[in-house]
Amino acid sequence: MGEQQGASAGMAGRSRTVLVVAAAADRRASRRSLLDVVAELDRRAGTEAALWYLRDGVDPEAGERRADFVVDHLRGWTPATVLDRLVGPRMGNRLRGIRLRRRLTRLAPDIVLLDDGLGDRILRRLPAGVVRIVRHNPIPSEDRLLEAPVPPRADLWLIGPEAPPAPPGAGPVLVDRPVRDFGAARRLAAPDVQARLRAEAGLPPDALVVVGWGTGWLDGAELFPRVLWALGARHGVTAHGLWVGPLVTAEDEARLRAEAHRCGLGDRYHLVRGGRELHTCGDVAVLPYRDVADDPRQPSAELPSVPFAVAAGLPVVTFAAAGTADDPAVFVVPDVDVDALAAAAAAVLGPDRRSARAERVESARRRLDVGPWVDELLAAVDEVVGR
Amino acid sequence: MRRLRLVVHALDRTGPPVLARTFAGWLRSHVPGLVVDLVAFRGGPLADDMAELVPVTVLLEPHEPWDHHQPDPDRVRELRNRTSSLPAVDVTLLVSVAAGQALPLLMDRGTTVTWVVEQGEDLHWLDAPVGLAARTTSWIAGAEGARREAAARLGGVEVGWSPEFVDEPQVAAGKSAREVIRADLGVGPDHLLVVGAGIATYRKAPDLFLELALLLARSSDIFRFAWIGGEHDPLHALLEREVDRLELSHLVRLVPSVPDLDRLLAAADVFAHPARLDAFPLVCLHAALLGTPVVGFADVAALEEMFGSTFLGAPYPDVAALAEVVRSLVNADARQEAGAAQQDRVRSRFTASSGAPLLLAHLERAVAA
Repeated sequence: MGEQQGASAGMAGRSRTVLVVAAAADRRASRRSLLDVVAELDRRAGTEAALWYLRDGVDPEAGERRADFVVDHLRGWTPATVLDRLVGPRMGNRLRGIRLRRRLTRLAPDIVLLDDGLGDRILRRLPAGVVRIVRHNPIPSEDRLLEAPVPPRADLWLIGPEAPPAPPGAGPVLVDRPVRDFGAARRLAAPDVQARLRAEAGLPPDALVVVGWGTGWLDGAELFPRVLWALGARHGVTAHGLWVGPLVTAEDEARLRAEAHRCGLGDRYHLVRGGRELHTCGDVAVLPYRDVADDPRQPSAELPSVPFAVAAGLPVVTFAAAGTADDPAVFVVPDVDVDALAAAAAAVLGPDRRSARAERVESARRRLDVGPWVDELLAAVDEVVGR
Repeated sequence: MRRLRLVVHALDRTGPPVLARTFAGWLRSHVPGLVVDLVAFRGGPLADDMAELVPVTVLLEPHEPWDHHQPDPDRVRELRNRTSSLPAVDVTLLVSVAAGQALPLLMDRGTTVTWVVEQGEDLHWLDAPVGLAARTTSWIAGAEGARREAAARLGGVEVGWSPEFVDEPQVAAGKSAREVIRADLGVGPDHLLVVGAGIATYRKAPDLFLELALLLARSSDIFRFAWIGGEHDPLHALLEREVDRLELSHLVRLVPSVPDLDRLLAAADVFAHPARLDAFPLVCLHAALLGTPVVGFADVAALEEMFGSTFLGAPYPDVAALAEVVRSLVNADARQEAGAAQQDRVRSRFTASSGAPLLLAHLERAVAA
């Protein structure tokens, strides 16, 4: 990324290795965040990150980092299975243990991060001085029933706002945040990129643009034209509306355009099936979500997440149903209240909306991006080491 | 004119078949010398009712597949043989453009009059390969909006106007019957019951009814709501989910279709019709004739034409303003006054006693021409 300077040298200036242990690949937002943290650590000068899973999980998504090692694969390691057959599982397991310890020794981690606090069983005979971090996630791993309970000892606890707390008297706690690598979102916020996207979407270059996206009923596609109507009728704001609907059918399109016509929007309603970049092409995002099937912080192949939009400098106005995390750039109004959505959108569409975008992008980077958070993490580790 | 054939697309409980039934009943009472029969492209639950009034010929079973572009030639031959045995008529009245589906199967039509009672995408039958435009001698429409749209689609052909109409209600809704119905819906004497009805499609807008309910419920706990019908339509399941998600199930009931809707309309305090598009909603006429004030959107569902100066509503899509109109009817006197005004308006213009003679006159002129 090149945007983050290396965090404090820490560890007396020598390179350091971070071993991240997670139960398995799954679909939780916390794991996706963790992968971005691992990638960011790897990018840092003087830091190397390794990712171990305790067992296999879901198939990795395209471009997703795979584990460097899956502990459960030792079950099928041939030398051990041969011993299992010849002399019994006790000897086979001893061999597996030796192999595991050799891996750990070769890796020589300076820091071990146990996601969900799971995996302590593989860290026996870890040398003293290794910083142990335990991370608690809002949604615990389904594998927790397969593992030993969370160990009471950690040098640092990462606890998110909705996660189970650290045990009493646990020691230093760093607030965990659902950070991601939002470099792609920030690049889309550049004025020349926005100008190109507007042209691509057929939008007038200087018009106020309200952008929304989704696939249908649950995303409130038919509420969007009425928000535009209310912006004009209630607040005197004449805005163009861009709805990005990658999976909109021809029948849905006809229905949505008819609705826009009934609302008197004329040529101010634009419906495209375009790519993800177009979701950032606006002055405010209005997301009339009726419900969210998955974690709203999960970007899918077709649709970005609310934090992605915020990271691109867009204020986001949405219903309470979206379940978005508390963020100063996200404005939540009561469910299915179209007038309230319009009022919130009107409030953020000030005359300085374009010039303020760069400021919003930087503010969002500090709050949401993986870089600043890893800075905090490494600083917290240095403080632990220095104690 | 001595013989008239009514043609409908189906014998379901939608507007056109109900309209045909009303006209057939009026003719039987007021023009006994006129011989009337009915042909339905498909059957349905109104078949028995209709058969009590006129001889009925049903062409297809309710779920029999039919491709208008490439119909089965053997089946076409069979059906034409059936209809060729029907007596010759002076005039055939298609009650809706959708009834045009039957045209290729009717051998003797006499003068063909098409009564347009649809709008929007329902007018696609004008372009379908059933020969509607070529075979229609005279066009009339049931509402001004439908008339304008049909005329435009037909390239300037003259389209007359003959308003749709309904029978006077037969509900003997005494106080106790009304209370029983309301109690079944979880509505007490101090509550204000807002009812909507129709199939669960975007055009009929039960989703906007739900939004209206949400806005009103957030302002006061006196309101109760019931939407009747649409239980077999795709939007219904989404509405059920919304009612649950928004925690409205103690206030909003989604009631299956009923054969006797008038009893529910009579038990309502307000009838809300937030349709996005509706050529001339007969259900609003029924509600008004029962004294239940009707509210809806201007511009999109012919309610302004229907109610004139007694119209109660707001411009589309202002659901908040529509909610204000409903709130203005909380006072019983206001409701009574508004309901009485709408009742008088509808009774004088849109009941069979006023509308059927106009329609008959159109048919007679068409034959004479």
